[in-house]
Amino acid sequence: MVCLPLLSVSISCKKALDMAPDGRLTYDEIFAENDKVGAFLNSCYTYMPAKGARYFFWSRGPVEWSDEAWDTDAESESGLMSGRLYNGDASAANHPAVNVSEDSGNGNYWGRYWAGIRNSTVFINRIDSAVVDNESDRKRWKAEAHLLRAYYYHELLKWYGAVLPIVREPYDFDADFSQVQKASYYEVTKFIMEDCDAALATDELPWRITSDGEAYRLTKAFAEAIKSKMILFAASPQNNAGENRWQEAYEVNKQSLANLRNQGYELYNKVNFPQTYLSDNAFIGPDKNEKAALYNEYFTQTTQFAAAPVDRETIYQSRDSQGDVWNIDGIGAQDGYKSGTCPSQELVDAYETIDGQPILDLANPYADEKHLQPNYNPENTLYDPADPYANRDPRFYASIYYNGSRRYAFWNFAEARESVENYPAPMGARTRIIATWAGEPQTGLHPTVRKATRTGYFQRKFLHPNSGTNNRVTGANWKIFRLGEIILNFAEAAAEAGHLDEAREAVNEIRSRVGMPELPADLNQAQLILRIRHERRVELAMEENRYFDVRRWLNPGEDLSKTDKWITAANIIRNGDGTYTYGRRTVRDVERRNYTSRFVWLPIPLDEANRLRSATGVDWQNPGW
Amino acid sequence: MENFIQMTKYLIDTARWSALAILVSLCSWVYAQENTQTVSGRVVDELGRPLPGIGVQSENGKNGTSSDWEGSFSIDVSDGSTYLVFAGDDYRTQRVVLADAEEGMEIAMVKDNDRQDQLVELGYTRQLRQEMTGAVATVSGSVLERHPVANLSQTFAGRLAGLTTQETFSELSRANTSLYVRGISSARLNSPLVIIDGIPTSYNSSQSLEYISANEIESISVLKDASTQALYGIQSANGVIVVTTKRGRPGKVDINARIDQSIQQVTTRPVFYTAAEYAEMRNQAAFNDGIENPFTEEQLAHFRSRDLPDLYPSNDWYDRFMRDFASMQRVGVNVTGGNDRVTYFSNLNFMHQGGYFKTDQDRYNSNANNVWINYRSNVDMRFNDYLTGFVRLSGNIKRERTPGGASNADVYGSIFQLPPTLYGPTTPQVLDPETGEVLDPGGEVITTQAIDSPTYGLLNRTGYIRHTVTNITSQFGLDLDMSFLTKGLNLSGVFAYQTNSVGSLSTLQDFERYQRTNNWDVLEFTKKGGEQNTPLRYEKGHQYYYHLTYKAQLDYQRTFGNHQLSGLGYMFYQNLTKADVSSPELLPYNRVNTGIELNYGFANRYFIKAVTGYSASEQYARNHRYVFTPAVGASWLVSNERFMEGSKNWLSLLKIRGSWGKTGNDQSGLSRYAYLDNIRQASGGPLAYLQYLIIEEQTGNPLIQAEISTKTNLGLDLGLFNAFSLSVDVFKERMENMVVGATATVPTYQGVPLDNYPAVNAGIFENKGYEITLGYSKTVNPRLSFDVQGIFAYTKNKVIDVNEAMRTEDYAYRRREEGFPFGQEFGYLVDYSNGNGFFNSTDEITQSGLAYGFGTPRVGDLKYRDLNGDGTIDERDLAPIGYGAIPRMTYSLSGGVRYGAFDLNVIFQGIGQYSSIIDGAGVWETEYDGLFGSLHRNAWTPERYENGETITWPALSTTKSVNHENSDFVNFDRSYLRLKNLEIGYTLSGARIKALRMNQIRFVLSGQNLITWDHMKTKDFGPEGDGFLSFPVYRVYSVGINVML
Repeated sequence: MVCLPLLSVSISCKKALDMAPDGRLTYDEIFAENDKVGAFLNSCYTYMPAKGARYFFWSRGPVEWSDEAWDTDAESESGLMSGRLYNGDASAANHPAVNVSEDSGNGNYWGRYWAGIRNSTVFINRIDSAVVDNESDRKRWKAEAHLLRAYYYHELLKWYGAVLPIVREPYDFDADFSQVQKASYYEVTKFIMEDCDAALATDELPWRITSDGEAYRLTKAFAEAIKSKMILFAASPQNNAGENRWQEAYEVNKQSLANLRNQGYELYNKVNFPQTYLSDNAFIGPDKNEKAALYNEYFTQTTQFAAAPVDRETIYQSRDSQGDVWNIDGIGAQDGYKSGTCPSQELVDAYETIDGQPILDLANPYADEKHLQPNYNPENTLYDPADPYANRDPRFYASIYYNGSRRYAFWNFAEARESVENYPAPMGARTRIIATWAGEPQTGLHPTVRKATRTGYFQRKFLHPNSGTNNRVTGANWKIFRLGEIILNFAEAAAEAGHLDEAREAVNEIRSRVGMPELPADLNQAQLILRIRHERRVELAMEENRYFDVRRWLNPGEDLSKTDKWITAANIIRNGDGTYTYGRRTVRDVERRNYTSRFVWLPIPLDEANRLRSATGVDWQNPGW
Repeated sequence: MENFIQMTKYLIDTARWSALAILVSLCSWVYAQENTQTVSGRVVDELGRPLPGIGVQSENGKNGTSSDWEGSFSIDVSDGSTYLVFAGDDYRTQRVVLADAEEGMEIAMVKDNDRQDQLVELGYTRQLRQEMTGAVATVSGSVLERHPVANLSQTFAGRLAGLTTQETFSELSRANTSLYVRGISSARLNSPLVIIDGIPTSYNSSQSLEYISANEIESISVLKDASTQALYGIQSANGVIVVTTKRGRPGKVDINARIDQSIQQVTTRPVFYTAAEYAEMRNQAAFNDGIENPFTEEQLAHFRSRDLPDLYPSNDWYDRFMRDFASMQRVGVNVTGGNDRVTYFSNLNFMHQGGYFKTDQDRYNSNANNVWINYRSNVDMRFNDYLTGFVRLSGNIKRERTPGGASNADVYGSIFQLPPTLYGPTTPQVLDPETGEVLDPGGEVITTQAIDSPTYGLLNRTGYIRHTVTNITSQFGLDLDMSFLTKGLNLSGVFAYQTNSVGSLSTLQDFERYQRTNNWDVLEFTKKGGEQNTPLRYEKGHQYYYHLTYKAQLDYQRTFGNHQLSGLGYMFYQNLTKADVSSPELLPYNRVNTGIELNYGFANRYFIKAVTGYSASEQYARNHRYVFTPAVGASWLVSNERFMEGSKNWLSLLKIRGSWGKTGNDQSGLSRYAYLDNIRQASGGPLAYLQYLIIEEQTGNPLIQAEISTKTNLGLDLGLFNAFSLSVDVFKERMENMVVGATATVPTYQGVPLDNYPAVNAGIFENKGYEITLGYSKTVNPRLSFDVQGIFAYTKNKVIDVNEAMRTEDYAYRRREEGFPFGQEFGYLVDYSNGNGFFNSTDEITQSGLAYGFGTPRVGDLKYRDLNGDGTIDERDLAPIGYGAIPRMTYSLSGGVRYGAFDLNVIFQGIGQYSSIIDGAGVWETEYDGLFGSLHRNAWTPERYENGETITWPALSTTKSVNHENSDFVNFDRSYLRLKNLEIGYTLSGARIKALRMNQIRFVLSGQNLITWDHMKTKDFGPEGDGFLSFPVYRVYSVGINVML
């Protein structure tokens, strides 16, 4: 009796505990309105990564985890990604490349790309019956969703290898996961190419974005780039499962390249901003070298969206800017912060002399495990180990700051007496000689300091010639695909498939753009393949290709000990008379430990591997993890 | 909103009833005035000494007073009662028939060591302990007052059987203590519901609780079993803490003033290394890592000889920035008094916490400093014979100062980042050696490459922040005696308003950092980073929440001969607006609880209780919103049986209790409105031309509902000779619908981020334990008496089902949660088979055949056990370490002795079966420029190994090595026994004091956290600490005077 009135009151409160409407949507509502359908497509785009210098804490991720460079943060912030990788401190549960951070889309690839694939799949499945105001939008949007799915799959395949299921329909929550199977590398590649072909068959999808209003939308050129890359990867020794797929790779690449050229894609071939890149203050190379300048200009300028753009080489650029690279991934001393990517002696050795001769023997570049004893190429007459930076490929001068190079910028300190080359000079905008000998207080080699160099070199490929606190030019948007890469993809596939002349011709196009002589005509297939791989290393240096290339060139089960185990630095000693003695040293006395075979692939996240194993009864994990 | 209207209607109805009742009662009041009897007399204790403060009340409760300092009382009884009731803390209640009362009679109170006549506060109700069927631990405010600490929950440890306390943050007068009633009831660290004066403070209860001074508190009860918790429905499963503040007492005005002064001192201080020692250890670490030594032999020689102290300093930064002592002052005044119409209790407290840093800024003060005022005014009014009401106002106003650039805790932690080799704290003045002209005024803050914000800068160059925090609580209530309908019926309504606001006025600046060059031969500095010396600027921030509560309650209580009957029904509605501004947290939080309770007692021997909560949370879909939480309890007071009459003289109490029931929990870590999908449209997105973006968050589970924990309790109370008491409780709790993730078997590749996946009610959790309380109390002679109490409590929980995916066979432990206590840590086990657990030579590494999955072991590194025998040490070899997230054992031994004017009270308190893996800064030597604690002094080196010296740490490193993993090597045993509090008092009373117009003066010396015995591997930090970068627990010495007027 006592409680009846209370209960009746409380029952009437039922509604009061309902949530006030707050704008939540259902899928049906989303696909019933044009703007919301577009909004859903927009959310499918959110999974695109920023890449470049946007790996956690402004690092360059795979560039620094390959033999191209050393990350200064490995010592000064050893708990971040590079420090842990160099120590081999990685497990399926906690791998530095994916678990430290997923800033800017660079990390947690497994969760991120599967979410992107699911959303794209939902979109592809619903778009035909959705409310869209304009039929051409419907088709173009669908093509874009296919391409997004292809891109996300291609990233997963690059990082994880053949441990992926093919998902054509979105899963329900109560789906049965026990029958799911991993597809082979080739099957996933074909699935990716199928999505690309669906996009290429869509008339409404353009080849190029020509206005800022449509900035960063995907194009047919993007589809060709993915096809070109993935078929090359699928044919490579690591991934081909013993099948020879080079002819297919050659044909696909040939077609893609032809289509791109027909649509006006071409190599960036002239200096468009001479007042910057050929100025007295640019210092790109010992003299004002136009070839070097155009190469540096290409990577330090963001591509414009226009019908007749200056840059016809870039196929797709990431939408994210790259930050104040001069103080986070350039010359740390300039602003006192960090240097980040320090190009390795190995990368420097890869740049040929101007006569087109490699410096080292390409088949066997070092006589010892630690890369301290170079096997010089006996045919090279220009290279002088005592004056190593003279007469090099223009791309060297456009990509690397080395001992004795110069930079005009704002230097946020006054020179101390020990900086012999530069003392005295006040804080401010001025030309500084980049002296990298051990002991130089600002830009010298140092084992731990964050703003120093670990290798004797600094990255300049993505660094505007004069950026600084007084001239805040942020890094150009990252070029995810460019024609130069497609040409080299084609060259490699052609050479492997035995079409040597076509291959050589393609490589020579790349070389002539920067003023390098053509390859000798008498190379046999094996020699040509070596030269093409070498060219790829140089042309695509620090563009996140080397990490994947050295892996796909391995046979299954091999490790990376030849390339990645020991990384060396220029050991430069400044003599009393002002001359330098150039030697070599390993960056650390101990080896990098991310060379073992398990580092060829990322591990499936531990929890996921456990779930897959318990659902399917099959071990999905990559070897070694 | 509709609900609000309903409630308002309801309250209006209540008001109408009340108005009617007032009219009715006004008529009857005149009538009731008729026969008045005046009784006066004196209350004394067993030894004939006057007893002040004993409540004297008429049977019907409408007349009352209390005994004064001479024990005298005088009362006019006019409410038609037939007897008077004499009741006081710790005494047996006495009844005196009015007809027998004589002028000047003496009432001798008897000590009640079994506490059976104690009125236990249960939140919405109160009950005599002898009638209780459940498990409740209580403590009075006067006991807590012995602790000279600022934060209330710091006084709880060891005082309440079954309450686990963990001091998690020890900053002076801003401490945080986690409280757990009987451990945890689900796989989460949920805190108990706190009910202050009958109003649940279900949000930010620490703000409401921590700043109540002990001298405002009448009692604190901890409700531990289902029969006492179930009434609170979905808020009850984590236990309930009931705080009751003091009420006015009819009788003469009593004023109690207290002032004390405390000195606070850290209990632990990390080891200090000289620059030479530090440099040697850094070199050792670099050598082990195979990198260049950071210090040359020449530099080392200078550090050792200290021949150039300017260039090669050896700085003790702790001494430079920390004071040896901090001080706290407190003043408190209580006033209480009243008559039959109005009683009041008012209280005002002031506290000042002094700073513990050494600062050097003369333009402003940035040192930590807290000033609080808190007040309380509880006024009870009797409008007439039927209608009473109350107004309770309380609040606290805190002004806290912290440095501008970091919290006090971060400033403290920053001290240890600075290496002793660092010159500083500021750059020197540079004079021209010839002219004496100042070339560089110096004074810029020095830092290192690894340190972003050096202590000196944080303390003296970042300005300061002043937070003004106010917590205001108002309660208004009316209570209508509805005996005009039926005797014993009572209707009451309470409206409560709580608000909290935090205003922060920041006066900030930034400062330039300088770094010394690598050249040790000169003092040269280069600027680091882009910071500038900026002038002070202001910033302001504000945060608030408010919390409205309405409660209506109907009570019934009546005795028919041998049958005692009581019951209640209540309804409670809460509307809480938090400061959060992110959708969906914008909307206020609503909650509706109701409950019914029935008690039946027969002949003071058999007691039965039936109770249910029926409560709801907006968290759940309509069909699953309300849950019943029924519970039953029964007790048998064996010692009141007739057949026990003969043994009454020695067996003063024997009681058996039992209860069973369900309790609920709606704090399951779900996002808001967990039953709804959360997909929304936002503007923006990667493609500007599409304008909008779809954001998908939580996927809803329409079936989700409150968790139910079923609890069983069995208890036994035993009293011997009215001196020795024993109370034992055994309990078991089981939750079978625990909210757990559903994703253990759903692979990520299906694409819905697993974080968005709905949780389900599918987990199972169990918690068991027992509590034993032993007491002994003895009055030896009029000058000497003592008492002792021991408490031991044990709780152990087990995660039975959390939907965990089984790991593959190659895992040493295929499950990490199920089958283990909540919070079970996993780590590598060190292989001590070679005697010391380290790889002592390269041969040993080779012979072991072990590869590590997280780096490569060096000589001197830890050798872990390969539990699965696959030759690789990786996560497959992790093993359970420790006991779970909370201590299993808590215990205390407390006692008091009174000898003449002196009294001494002491409490030893401890915890057992508790350990944690502690990592990171404060344990690892690799952080910043090398952070060395006392464990690192004896790190592994070949020499130390060959000489057979003690080795307390693996080979040092400069960067993360294989040693820096979770392992039993860094598992710290956090059990301890502590002399928690010691208080010595000297009381002056009697004629001499009377002459000063005072009733009593008491001088008090007291100490908190005086001695700790623990098993920590290092003395750098105590068992509460989380590495030596966090504030240590403080030891407090206090002297005080307590004056009663």
